[in-house]
Amino acid sequence: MYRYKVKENILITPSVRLLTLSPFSASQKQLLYRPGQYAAISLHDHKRPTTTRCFSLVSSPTRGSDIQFSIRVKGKYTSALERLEQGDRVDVRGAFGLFVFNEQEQHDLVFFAGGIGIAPFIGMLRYAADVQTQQNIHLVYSTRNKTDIAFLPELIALEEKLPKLRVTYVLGEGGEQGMEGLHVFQGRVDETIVNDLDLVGGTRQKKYMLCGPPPYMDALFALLKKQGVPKRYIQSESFSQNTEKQTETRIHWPANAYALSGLTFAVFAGLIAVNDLNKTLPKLEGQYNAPEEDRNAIATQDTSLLAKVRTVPPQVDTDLSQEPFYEYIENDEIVVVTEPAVATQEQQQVVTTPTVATPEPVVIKKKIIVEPTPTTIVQEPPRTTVS
Amino acid sequence: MTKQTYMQSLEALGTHIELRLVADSKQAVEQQFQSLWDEVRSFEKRFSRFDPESELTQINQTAGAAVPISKEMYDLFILSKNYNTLTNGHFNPLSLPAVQRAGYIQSLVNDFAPLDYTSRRVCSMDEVSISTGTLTMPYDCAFDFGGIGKGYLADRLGHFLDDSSYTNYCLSIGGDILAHGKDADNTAWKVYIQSAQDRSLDIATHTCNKSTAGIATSGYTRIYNNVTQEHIISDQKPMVGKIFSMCTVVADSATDADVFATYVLTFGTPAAKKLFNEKRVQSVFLQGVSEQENFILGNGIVLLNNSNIKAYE
Repeated sequence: MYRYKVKENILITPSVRLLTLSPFSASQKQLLYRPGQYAAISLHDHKRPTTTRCFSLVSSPTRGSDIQFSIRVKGKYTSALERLEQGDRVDVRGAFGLFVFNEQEQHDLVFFAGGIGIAPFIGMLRYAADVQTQQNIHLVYSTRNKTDIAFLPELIALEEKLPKLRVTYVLGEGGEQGMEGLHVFQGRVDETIVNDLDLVGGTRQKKYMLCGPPPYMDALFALLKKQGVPKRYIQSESFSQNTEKQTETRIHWPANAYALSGLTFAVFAGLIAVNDLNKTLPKLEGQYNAPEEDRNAIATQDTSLLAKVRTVPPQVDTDLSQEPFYEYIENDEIVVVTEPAVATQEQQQVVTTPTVATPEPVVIKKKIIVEPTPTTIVQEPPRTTVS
Repeated sequence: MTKQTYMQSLEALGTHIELRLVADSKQAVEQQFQSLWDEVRSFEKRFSRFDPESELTQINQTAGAAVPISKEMYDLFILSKNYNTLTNGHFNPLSLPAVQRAGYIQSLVNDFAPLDYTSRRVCSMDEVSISTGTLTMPYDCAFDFGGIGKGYLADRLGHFLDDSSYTNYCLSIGGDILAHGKDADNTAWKVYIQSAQDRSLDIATHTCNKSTAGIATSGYTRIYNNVTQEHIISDQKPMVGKIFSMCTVVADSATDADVFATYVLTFGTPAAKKLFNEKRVQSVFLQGVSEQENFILGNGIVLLNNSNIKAYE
């Protein structure tokens, strides 16, 4: 968990708040995240922690330690957000999710944002601007009307900063006044808009990233599929604030990937079982299946080998008449006894041990482990010193 | 039941550590002390530049290669990078070769064989490539968190106590202090400030009126085993000369205080005013080479003889 405090809490559209959090202290651990990920935040309403909810990060990790969330104000929880004041504590967990911007991506990128689903894309575009990505990016941003467009001035600035970024606004209703010079469509994202904007096809493969309310994404998913876009090029982020279903990432794996995995597992398990079973069975001698002449040759070899074995003398020492070899120390000399114990004194071989300098003791330097002092009651105050 | 201030101390990290916890009984703090010492030892094991097995040593020894790093190492390095920016490069953990060339090569406490980086150079933090998984620095550099470690450890222990819902404590890591809550008399913690003229005496007090206060003192010299040693090693020249001999900073965290005390001591009153105006520090106390040059900024610091203060304008 990361502790943050509210730096700013402002309304950026009639229904969307921008919440800026800064670390509670400079020394604390800071949230590490990739552009587009989301985090879980917990507020302290009337000094009691609220339930945790997930929101996409609008900020970019390239822009310092402050983090930002854009949140649609609707329902009890997000209403509590309105009451947040500068300095209030907010606990953050995360970051989560695979819906992230990858500057190494080789394909052109098409971002579809529906309403508050713009949040992760703002973080991605800020990041893209900071690292000066050379990717072609087309953001198609759908809102109910002009006043619901969040981050409009920033999107205009980002489009100027990123030559390969194109932003298209799709307004469900209302006029386009004040949006002169911008690329605006009326209605919904449909086949006409997709064709007019060349969003599908072209010489370069495109990757589509979708974020918005579930009905919006379902419709877009069906539209792209109908246009022949393979599933693997579509990534979506379910973004349903104020419902039980929190933000999650849906990765579209081909269904047969699971079947292939299962089949592979079964084949390997079978091979291992057969191998183990084979080890437990008696070995079948190959010569019994061999041709007649080979069998005769093998039989001859067997006979000669058997003859050889019979000529080898016994290897076990059965002579118990001798004592084992031993040595002992006497008057600083090692006495090595090489003959049987019954040998005479004259038969003993005396070996003088050469003088060897005593080696330096091996010193292993070890860490000194000190135990703390026992617990005491103190009256004297603490003191700050140069150490 | 009457509350008392219970204390345990330990020599670790090459310095003296004192932990004060306010509680109703001795039994209530024993386990807490044990857990805090475990944290201290774990910190030392990871970040000691003297321990040949520490993670920091492993990185210094394999400089030039991409080395896997722990989350803790990553966090502290990124934090150091922030302070490096805040202090315009003055705080630089990659100064270790210069620190060693100044004589700080052998551990004063532990009997480890010295790890010698004196032939390496001091590089900038931009030359180090770091990600959550790996760190790569030039082959001829070495780093150490000596300039931030004590304050950072105090804050870590503070977070640990906060998470255990412990509210009243005062932690001193080699003179860097983190005070939180109230003392046993339910009054604000009062911290005494060492005198630059006579290190055995105190010259002022700071009353911690805010719920959390990090306090650190930095001096041009330190006295260890009755030997005076140069204590600030930097390739940046001080802007004000040695008008001030000691600086005490009170900030929201002990790490802030630790880093900013050295920074302000080096760059004098302009740096102090800048940090104060940006609300990065609560109070600053610069002890002049002569008493006439004493300088106090912010509230809470009171001179014991109540004289010779140059007020902030």
